[in-house]
Formats: sequence, structure tokens, C-alpha cells
Amino acid sequence: MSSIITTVHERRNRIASAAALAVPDVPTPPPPGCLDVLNVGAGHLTFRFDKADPEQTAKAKRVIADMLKRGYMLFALVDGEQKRIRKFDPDREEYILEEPDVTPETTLAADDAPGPVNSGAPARRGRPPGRRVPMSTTKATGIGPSAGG
Amino acid sequence: MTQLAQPNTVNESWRRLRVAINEIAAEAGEWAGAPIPVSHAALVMEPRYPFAGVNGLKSEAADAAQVHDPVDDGYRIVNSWYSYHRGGTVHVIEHPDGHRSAWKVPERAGERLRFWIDTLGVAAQHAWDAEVEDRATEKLKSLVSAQAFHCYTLAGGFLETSKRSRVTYLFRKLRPTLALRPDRSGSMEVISILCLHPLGFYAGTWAGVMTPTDDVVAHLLLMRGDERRYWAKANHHEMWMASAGI
Repeated sequence: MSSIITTVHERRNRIASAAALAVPDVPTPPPPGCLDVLNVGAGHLTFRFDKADPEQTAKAKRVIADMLKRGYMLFALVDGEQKRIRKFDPDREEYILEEPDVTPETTLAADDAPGPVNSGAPARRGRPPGRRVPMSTTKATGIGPSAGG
Repeated sequence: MTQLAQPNTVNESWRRLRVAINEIAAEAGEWAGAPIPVSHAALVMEPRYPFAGVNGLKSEAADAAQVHDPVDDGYRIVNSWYSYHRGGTVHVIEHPDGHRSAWKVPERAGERLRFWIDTLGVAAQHAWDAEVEDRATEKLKSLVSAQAFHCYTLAGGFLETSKRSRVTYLFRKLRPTLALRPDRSGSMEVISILCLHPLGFYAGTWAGVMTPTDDVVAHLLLMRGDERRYWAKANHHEMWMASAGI
């Protein structure tokens, strides 16, 4: 019995000593961003944005710009939600997000629709500025132009 | 005694073909890859797909006709509608001499079975790779809850309600997605059946050119990230159609 108590005390002392020597928590850097592109033969291709590899990053930037030009749809995971990427700023290395403002119910037949989404509100002119997120820390997925089946 | 071909050799040959085709596509800047044609179902590609010659292609017909190029023989469809009484679609056809007749296309179990068999045929002809499907499944797992993945693994589908529109979607493997909402009595009703494939699909099947779970991933991301565009891009099937997969 005394040996068990001794073991417990020793363990507590070791933990206390370790806690005293522990360094303050260093904020861990966010994981590097990446872009997964759904691919017929590979499942998905992955492009990583590692600042330590400028060549890879430069290639990834070219790929993103090319995809948007070809009509690919890119989605960024932001605050736990998928957001459509409208544009890409290669100089600032940022995705510019799009916030959809119409729900599917406005595309239903008139007799089924609940009514205009923004009835009574003055119409806004032009597209509102999109939110920007850094490419280097954002996880994104790209999908090729889609055909209705 | 005839020696059967080893399955690994056959799969490895197809894998190498897919890798080679994908490399050619990547060199041309087509990041989503290129499809594998099959013998029984023509490819229907998204109009912006850069390799235009692939559209309408079958693996055994060197002179396969374009799927959407109608043969100008003087016949034209004047009108079409679904007949519950006849259990199929009725087309009114105008003949070259001007007279009209009705052509009935049943949408019954036989048509549904044909869809199923032809979809199975796409898999049988190695248009997809099992390892690629595994990677797509891992991707889906990272996007959905444990419960949703559990349902997808065991039953081939899962439900998710859009936070924006409150429409509930039933995402299904190798079938179009059902959009549901409660009616006045509180029962869920189907408001549309959304069919969409990245890059393209095989005509007369539920098969897209990507592996089945990649199609599901595409539907899910589109619904979450741009629901309006999802509805605009998808084909909307009626419940009675074989293509609806119900």
C-alpha cells in the first residue's frame, strides 16, 4: 500500500516539475493552404502553397488563374463553410469570395415561390465587394465545368 | 485448360491507360483530366471542354455520331408530355409529308433496368478506378459528419439541409440528388431532382466521367457554396423518368 502511495506521489511530483518547466504555449501557425482539383484519373490533384517553395507556389497561382478562366468552380473553406471563389488576386495571393444573394426558392415557379427575397429594399447597384482570404492558409477545392445529366 | 487473365494485369493495364490519358490532359492544361470512352454509351461533355472530339465518342465506333447532332431526315418533334395513363412520354411527330403521329416511349421498369445495366456497364469497362474512388470517398469523409458518412457508406446516400434555403437534399451515389421540403401537412415532398456531372457523363446512364463519389462531392460543394448556380446548372428530372433514379 505504501509503495502505491509513493508511486502516486512520485508521479504527481514529476507532473508538477514538468509544468514548472513548460514553456508558454506558442501559437501554432495555421496549416498551409492547398487546392484540391477533382480529377478523372487521380481522384483529385493537390496544389500546395508552401512559402518555402516559391516555384510550387508560382505554379499554383498560374493554375488557379487558368482554372477560373476555363470556367472551373473553386470553393474555399472559410469559417467552416464552403464559399464560392469569384476571383483571384495573384499579387496579394488572395481569393476573392462571392456571397450568393438568391436562394433556390426564387427560381421556383411563381405560384410556389414565397415571394421576392428583398421585397421593399432598395436595389443595390453593382456587385458588393467580396471578402478576401489568403491563398496560403485556405483550403480550397476546384471542380471542372459541369454538364447537366 | 485455358488460363484466365489475372485480374491484376487487367486492372494495371487500365490504370496505366488512365494515367497516360490524364498526363496528356494535364500537359494541355486540362486539370480535371480526360474521360475514358466506353462501347455502349456515348460521352456527353460540357460544351466548354477543350477536347471537342471527345463529345459523342464511344470506344468502338470510330465514326460515332455526335449525341446532340440530330439527323435531318425531315421528321421533327412538335410536342412532348408525360402521360400517367400510358406510363410514359408521348411525342407528337410531324412527318416530312406534313402528317402527324404520336410516338409513345414507356418509362417503366424496363427503362429503369436499362439505365441500371448501362451504368453497371460503365464500371465494367473500367471507366473508373477503384483506388480513385477510394480517394474520392476520403475526400467526402472530410466534408461531411460522421453520421452522414456512415449512411453514405452503408446505404449509398445522406441528407443535408441547406442553411440558406432550408431545402433538404438527399445526395446519392450514382443517382441524381433529390431536393425536398416539407409540404403544408409537414410531409417531405420532392421539389426537384438535380442531375449534374463535372466535365460530362455517359448518355443513357447515371454515370459521370468522374468516379461516383467525386460526383457526390461536386453536388455537395455546389449546394453549400453556390446553391443558386447549382440549381441553374443542373438538369431537373421529373420523378417518373428513369433518369431520375427513383
